[in-house]
Amino acid sequence: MSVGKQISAWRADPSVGDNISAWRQIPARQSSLVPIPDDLPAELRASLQQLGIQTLYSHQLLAYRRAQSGLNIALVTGTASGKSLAYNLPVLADLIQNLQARALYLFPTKALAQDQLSSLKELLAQATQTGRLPPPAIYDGDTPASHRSQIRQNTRLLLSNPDMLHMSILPHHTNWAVFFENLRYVIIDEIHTYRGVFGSHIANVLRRLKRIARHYGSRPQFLLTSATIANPQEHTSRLIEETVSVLAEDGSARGPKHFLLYNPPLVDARLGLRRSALQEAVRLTDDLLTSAVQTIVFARSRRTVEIVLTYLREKAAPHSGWDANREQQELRGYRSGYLPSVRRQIEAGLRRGEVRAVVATNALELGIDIGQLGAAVLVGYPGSIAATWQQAGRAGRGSELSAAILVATPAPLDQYLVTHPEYLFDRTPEQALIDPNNPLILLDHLRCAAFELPFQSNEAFGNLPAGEVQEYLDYLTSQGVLHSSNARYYWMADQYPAQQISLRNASPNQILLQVADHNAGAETLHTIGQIDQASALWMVHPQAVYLHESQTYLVNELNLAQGQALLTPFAGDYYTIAMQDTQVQLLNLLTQENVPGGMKYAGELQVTTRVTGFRKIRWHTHEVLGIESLDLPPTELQTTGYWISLSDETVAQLRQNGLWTNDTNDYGPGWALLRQQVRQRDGFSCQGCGLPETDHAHDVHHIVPFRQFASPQQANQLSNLVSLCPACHRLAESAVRMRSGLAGLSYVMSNLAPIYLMCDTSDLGAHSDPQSPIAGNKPVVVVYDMVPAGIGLSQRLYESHAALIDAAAELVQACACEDGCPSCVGPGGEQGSGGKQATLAILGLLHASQTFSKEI
Amino acid sequence: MPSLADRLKSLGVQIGAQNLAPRQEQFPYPIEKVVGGETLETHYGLTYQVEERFPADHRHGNLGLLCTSPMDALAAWTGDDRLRRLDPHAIAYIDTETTGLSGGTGTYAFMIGIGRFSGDNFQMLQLFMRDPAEEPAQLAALEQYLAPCEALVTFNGKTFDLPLLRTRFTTHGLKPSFSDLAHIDLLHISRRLWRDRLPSRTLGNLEYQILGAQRTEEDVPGWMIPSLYFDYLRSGDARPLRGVFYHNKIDVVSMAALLNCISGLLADPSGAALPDQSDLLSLAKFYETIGDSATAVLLYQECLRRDLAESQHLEAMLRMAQIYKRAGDDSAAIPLWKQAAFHWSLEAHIELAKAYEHRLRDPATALEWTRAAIQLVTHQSVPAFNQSALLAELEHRRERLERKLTGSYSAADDS
Repeated sequence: MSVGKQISAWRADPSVGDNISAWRQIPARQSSLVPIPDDLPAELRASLQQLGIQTLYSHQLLAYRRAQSGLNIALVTGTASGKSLAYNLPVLADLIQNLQARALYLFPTKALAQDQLSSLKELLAQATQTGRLPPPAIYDGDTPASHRSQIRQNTRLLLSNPDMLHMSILPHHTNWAVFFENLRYVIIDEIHTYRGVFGSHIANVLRRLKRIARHYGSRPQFLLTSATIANPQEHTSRLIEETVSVLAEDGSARGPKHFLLYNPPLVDARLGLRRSALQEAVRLTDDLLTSAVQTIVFARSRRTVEIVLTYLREKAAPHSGWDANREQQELRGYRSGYLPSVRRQIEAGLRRGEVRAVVATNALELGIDIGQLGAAVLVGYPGSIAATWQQAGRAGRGSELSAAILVATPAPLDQYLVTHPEYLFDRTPEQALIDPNNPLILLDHLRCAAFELPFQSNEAFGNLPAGEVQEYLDYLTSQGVLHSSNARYYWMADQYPAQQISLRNASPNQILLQVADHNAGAETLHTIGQIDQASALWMVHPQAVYLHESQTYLVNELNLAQGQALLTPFAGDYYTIAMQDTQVQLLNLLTQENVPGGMKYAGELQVTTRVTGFRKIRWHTHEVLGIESLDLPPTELQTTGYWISLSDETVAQLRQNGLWTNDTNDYGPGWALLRQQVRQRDGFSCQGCGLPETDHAHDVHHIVPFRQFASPQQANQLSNLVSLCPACHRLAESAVRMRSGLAGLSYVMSNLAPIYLMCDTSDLGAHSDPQSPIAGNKPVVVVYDMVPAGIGLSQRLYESHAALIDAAAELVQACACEDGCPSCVGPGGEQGSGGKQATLAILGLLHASQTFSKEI
Repeated sequence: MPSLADRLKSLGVQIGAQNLAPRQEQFPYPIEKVVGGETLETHYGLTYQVEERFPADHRHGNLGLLCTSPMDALAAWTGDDRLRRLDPHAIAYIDTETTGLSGGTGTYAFMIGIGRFSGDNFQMLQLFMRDPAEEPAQLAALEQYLAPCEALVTFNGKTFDLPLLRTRFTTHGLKPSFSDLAHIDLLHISRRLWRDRLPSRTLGNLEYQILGAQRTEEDVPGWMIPSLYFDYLRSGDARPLRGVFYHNKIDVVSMAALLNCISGLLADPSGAALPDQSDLLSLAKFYETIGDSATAVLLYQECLRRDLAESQHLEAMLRMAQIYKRAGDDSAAIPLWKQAAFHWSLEAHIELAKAYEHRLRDPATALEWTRAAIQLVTHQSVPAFNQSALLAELEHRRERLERKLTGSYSAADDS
């Protein structure tokens, strides 16, 4: 059976076909071919000939010509479109002719560098023979010390990565003097991965690189590649701070592809529970394998990779004659934990067709050559639309039909996408954002830059003007790290600043996670990972149960002063959830605007979070075993945020909305008696306004909503009950509703934000408050950047407000659950009960056209 | 509008430094008032230097500063023939004081000490960077001083001082001419000679143990030096730097005496010049390393005549035996091995088994030695991870020998 037949079979089978929420057929594309240019050096022509390349794609020729004319270029064509050849041809052509010229290649992973090294060697087979060009070499953490000196002196084509550049090459640039004097090209691959905090660091590393090149008299040209993003021009030019010519027209051929969006069916509509995405993905993959379609399965975590692989092998067993060995060979896993030699083996096996299926993390998303497969199955949305296309792009062999299937998990973002395929297919609203001038990140790199070369007092840094640079330099001088004299700033400290910086986060304080090893007599500490201090307080607070790479640990001690958390392996039957109390204060309002239902704002905020305690929850049954309190210092985060306040009219309308009646009258046995007791205790008068009972009994209200408790007994404790007159009761209920509606709104907004932002949900924090000081005591939902001083995320959300509300409203409306679920407004319990109706009501009033109201 | 400092603090930047004293405009104790130096005019401006001369007969501990012995052994050791014909007056001894040990372009050599003979005197020059802005001038002065020199002597200069100086030059776009000079790094040769006897081979310890010299209280510990310089830059008070000048000066003088000492004892194959007779073994091994087996053997023999530790005697025996073995002289090697085997040396047992089996064609004797070796392994405290591998090899050998001797097997062998 071929791919096409398998898809038809699925569509005809109700157990699969009914769950396909979208089926897009992407037509084949003819290639746009052009002859190999005449001015290409003979050695390269010969190598291309050897490799069987007779023509070029149109975009490859265009890249060649533009690069020749001295422009910085960015290739934003799809996967398997020959981007490597497109940037290699102009660079190699020049280096063959100019015997002093050098080029630096930067790849985000070592594996990718290894892969590209092989390709380069093939292309240069002729040229290195004639001796015109020494062989290309990788210079990274794995390069043996004995080879390094030789590489520094002789290599003209250097492959490395941003971390090595930052940590080793730039701070020792005098060892690379000849290299920098003749640096003509810098090639940076996969620049869409350089976004957010990481991207902001990389932009600064590039500023340092350019500064040092300038010191040696060179001004290299930049050749960049990227997956599809919404803002390639903006992102690339912000990254290198120069003008960039973007090439997005893809001249490569593409076979027809079927893209299916699959939503596992509901098993409990009321609770919004669906069949496991993992199981569904296994089933679909098994079908494909039975039809002899070579398939790649992408999973979001290493653990999922191992689970899917196990299931697939079990299913394959009867077909392969219970030959465990064969299953091991033909169905492989792939993730960064494996040895490089094993990974090379799997890659080769895929190219040769011996490996029929590979289950991988996104380690296989970036350009490593594994040939082209028949189908790609994505278990859950990979987190960005760019990544989705990268992963799907692994399927598609020549002009044959291929398939990509995205299996949605219950996460709101997944659920939103399967019901809004246009986001995936018709446009890419994701923008890659960086903020190179974030003060924390900038400070770190100015330290590194000052270490590398003294600063002149009128010197700019990238596009940061000299005056601002000087402010930072003066600050560093006052900290005793720089010495200023003769209109220069010299590094005068016994430190190596690059070592103290991690390019992947901006948090000043890291906590090391350490486990005690008791073997060999002495007790040693073994570090399993690290977390920034703010996250540490709620993830590894004392007595927390912490999961790390499928191992469970108990946190014995959290020592903030020393930056360590001590863990021991744990085999208990419960996990913990921290309880946090968040306060948000306004530091500086930047802008505000009226919107339907209220107002939107953007500005600088101080978010103070305190972990107050934690709950112990039994696995599987989710019983609350206990609640403990904690005494931990608060975390203060100064950052940028975007928030919405509800106008008084909106609040009034919400209150009056007759939809807000009490959900249930069943408060357990003995409720009637309990009511009596409470009214009696309260002297038959309203505890809110003092009104005495007249004709009717007052209502009895649960202070903490009934739903939040595990049992009626706990909910109905006298201390939780209070007599209220109907008016006060309505107010109290509406306060609860308000709180839970706002909480639901903040949940859905922060979960949908990544559609616009190309960030992880963990890059944003969200908070709601029915009476917020940051908007004149009105009800507020705020979303903020989790990075100190912000990185530009919430600013973009402010601009996308209307679209975000629109998307949120649609998602919640369409969700099949009754009262809220993790796929729409979040699990109940934290701030309110369920809250779906309340959230919908608020969304209705915030929505421009106000079409959402009483309909459910 | 909050200052940058306030903003950074509120973002969580830990302010590392304590309350630093504000920079003073008037320097109450400039360097000129603290040490007796002078400014020097160079192509790049002014630099500051302190000079001191030591008379020809000056001794540092037990030794004079001029290297009076031939340097042939050192030439063989470094592989640089120029050292054979070197005039000791053309040697420059260099030591730097730096702003840190981590290397990289942010490390400065704020003080460069150079010692060399000028006429009969030992001239000690210290080029001091009063301010980083003076660095080019300091480097220019260094070039000038090194111009007439033919060799450099350092202590750990191969890994540290010389690469650092090269980096400083390159940062200013200058090309150092001293890169081509011959170089002796005293740390490496000192390790060779004294790794077994002395727990620490720092210059300070060698100075005390080998040269018999002591420093005054003016000395400052090396780890403190960078911060003393930083304090001086900030406060303008040069008084604490006196100790740094002293430290640097004595380091250079020590190196001169140390080279004199080392070249002296390397040049004397009788070992008479050695500070301690247990250094005989190291000296012998040194001669083996440079390919002079004849001298090595003489020294090993001397070791055996002296009252040294048993482990040293054993090592001497075994190494001598190896030399003889390589030269094809079993008649000389075997007695040595037998002597070592008498002292429970496993290596000797194994070598004897090999010699008798393969070269002397005497499987019976080879078997005896093999069996004895097996006994030794099982009864001696051989580390566990080694034991099984060794035993496997020995058993293999034994079986082979027994096969060779088929016919001579008897019940008595089964013990």
